[in-house]
Amino acid sequence: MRKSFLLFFVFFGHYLFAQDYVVEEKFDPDNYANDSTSFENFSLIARWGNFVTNNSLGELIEPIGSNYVEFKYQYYFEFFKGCKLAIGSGYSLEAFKLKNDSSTLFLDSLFHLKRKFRFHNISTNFGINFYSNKEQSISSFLQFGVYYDLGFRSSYITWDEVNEMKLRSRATKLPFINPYNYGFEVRLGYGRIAGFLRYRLTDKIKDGFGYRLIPIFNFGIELEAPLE
Amino acid sequence: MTLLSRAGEPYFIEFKSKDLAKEFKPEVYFDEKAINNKKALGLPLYDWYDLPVNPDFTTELKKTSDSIGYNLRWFNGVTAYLTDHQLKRVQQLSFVKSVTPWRSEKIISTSLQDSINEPLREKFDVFNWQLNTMGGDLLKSKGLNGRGVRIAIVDVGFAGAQKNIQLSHLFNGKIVDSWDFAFNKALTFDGFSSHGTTVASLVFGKIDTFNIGHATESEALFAKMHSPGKNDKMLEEAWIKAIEWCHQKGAQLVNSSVGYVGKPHKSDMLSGDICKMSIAGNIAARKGMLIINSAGNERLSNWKRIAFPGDADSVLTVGSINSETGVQSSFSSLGPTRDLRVKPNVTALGNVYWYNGYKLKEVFGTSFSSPLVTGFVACLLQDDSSLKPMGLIDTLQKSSTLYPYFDYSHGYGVPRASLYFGVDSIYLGTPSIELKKSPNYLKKGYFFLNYLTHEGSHVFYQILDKMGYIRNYYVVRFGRDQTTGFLYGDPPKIFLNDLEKGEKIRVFHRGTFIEKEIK
Repeated sequence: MRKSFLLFFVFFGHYLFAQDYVVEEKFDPDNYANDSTSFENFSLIARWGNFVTNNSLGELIEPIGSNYVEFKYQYYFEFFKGCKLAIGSGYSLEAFKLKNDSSTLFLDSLFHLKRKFRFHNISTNFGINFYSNKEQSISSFLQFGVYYDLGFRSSYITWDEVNEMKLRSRATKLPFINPYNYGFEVRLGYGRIAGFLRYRLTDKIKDGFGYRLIPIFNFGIELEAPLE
Repeated sequence: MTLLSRAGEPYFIEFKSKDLAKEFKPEVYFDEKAINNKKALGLPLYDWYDLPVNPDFTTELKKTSDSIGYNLRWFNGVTAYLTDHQLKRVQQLSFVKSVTPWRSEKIISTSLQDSINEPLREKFDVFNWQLNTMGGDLLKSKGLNGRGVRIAIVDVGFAGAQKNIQLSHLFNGKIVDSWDFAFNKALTFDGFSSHGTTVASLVFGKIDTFNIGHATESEALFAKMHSPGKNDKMLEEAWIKAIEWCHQKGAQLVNSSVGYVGKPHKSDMLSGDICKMSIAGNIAARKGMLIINSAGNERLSNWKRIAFPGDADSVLTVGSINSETGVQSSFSSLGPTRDLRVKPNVTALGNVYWYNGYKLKEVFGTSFSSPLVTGFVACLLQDDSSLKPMGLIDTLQKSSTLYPYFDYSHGYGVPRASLYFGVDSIYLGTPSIELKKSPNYLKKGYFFLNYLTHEGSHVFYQILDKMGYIRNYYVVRFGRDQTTGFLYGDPPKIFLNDLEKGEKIRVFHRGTFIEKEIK
């Protein structure tokens, strides 16, 4: 114990008995205008949405119970008057509730009470925005762009009830899921509120399964908060 | 037509000449108080700056643009929204000297950051405490309350001012005039923002026997120059027009707790001669009217430095200190100007209480340190009406707690009445600290500080570069605090290896000022 105290004082004694600086400022005239990366152009965007399903394409999910959530930072820089380029990056979660259909029996080929796919992605996007007003906060806008999602975790979760016991099982690192997905997206909004629509060009399920399963369209609303 | 629906971009159109054929009558244009101010300071009544913009030029411009803004006499021009086509036509007009884009649309009201409600009226003693950080009782005992001084408040909104109990005495004959420059109409004391009401309270306010500001007996002018959400006029344009109006109406002091920062302006434009607001601040001082501007709350933002027009040489820029630590508020914008002049000039409390009629509120921002200083300056002006704006700035700096020491956070410190009257009891005439050399000075030598009195209290020290700017500055405590018994540790060391020849160490502690040049 005594050794521990000794060691503590040897390593941290300096800090324990250091003087108390209440102001410490440096000034360098060569670095006077430190505003090259202004946060005025950064926004935090929060999105919530759902999916457009098309049974004829074999998209066998239930819209109710399925969700799309995304949080991302977006940076704008003016391209020309009334037009800005946008680059964003963040995190997105896609949660799909699967229909109880024989074509959606994965891994164990069993029917379950409820089944979901959950995909966690690092999302990136690039777009071009057109504004009706120079003041972004009171302007209508339309953004066309592309997105690229990198999935870093995928899971297939099932819920069952056996003899009044509730069972939940989860399989992760799903080998049949394509982690690299990209597509187009459109945002239409006013001020800090917008609606979005995304169209995926890639198949979420890798080739060889023979059907699309995961909807290619998703849509929703978003709120944007500028980081000023 | 509102500002936002106008076609084109905003430009300032400067004319080549003024119409000298029409006689300018100062006694007609100026308020009687303005004329008396000028006479008292020995300033000419007739000044080219005050001559009106030639109306023929404006009439001609209206043929090209239907969105002509204010005529700005001091800058001899007008604002107009012009499309590219209109811009080319205006540039070709024979009487146009230059056409320049207005640079910014972003205002900061420096600022109501947060507030804490305190319900108890019994806590009104806090008003005495906060004024006494500047010597409020001493000013009172000397009969100084701003009487005879006319102060203008240029701000973003005065909602509730008419009903505010702290300002009721103003509305009984002390408000000389008011105007809404955001919309060029009579000012109504309603709307969303009560920022200006708070600011005015901290200049003029009083409740019963409690003073909230130092200048309770001053006359007031209220000018609103911005309306949150929508505006009819450009911000800079409205602010400058308001300043011209304040001068016309005889204001001797203007409290402006607004400024602006941000794109397309950059902080390296803070040289006092780029932004028109800053130039107007300098013109105002030359004409006998001092603008007292809050420094801004940008220290933690990417901008970091003071806001325009606080960079103007003749504008008194006020930073803020925290009432608990006694040193810079975390948000208070830093100086210096781009050309390395000292800013802020002085500081005052940046977390202050005011009474909104039903609750005691603590508000934060340099917006609220500025009015405390404005009230103080009004008292100085009442005491010595011969002081011109630059003389006021000089006197105020010399009456501040750190003088002759200064840094880019605190300026010269907090103005204090006891220092103005030469009765301050803190500096007893004997040094309270010394700067010593270590014994092994030649090998791994260093300087260190040694308290002679008041161990454990704040010491300000800094290192001046050979070029004369402060490259590092600190406020530090060390040793054992004599009041609390708390041990702060060893004295700070300034190693010789970190210093160059020609650099200076400056130290300030309780009136003791040490300057040591490295040779």
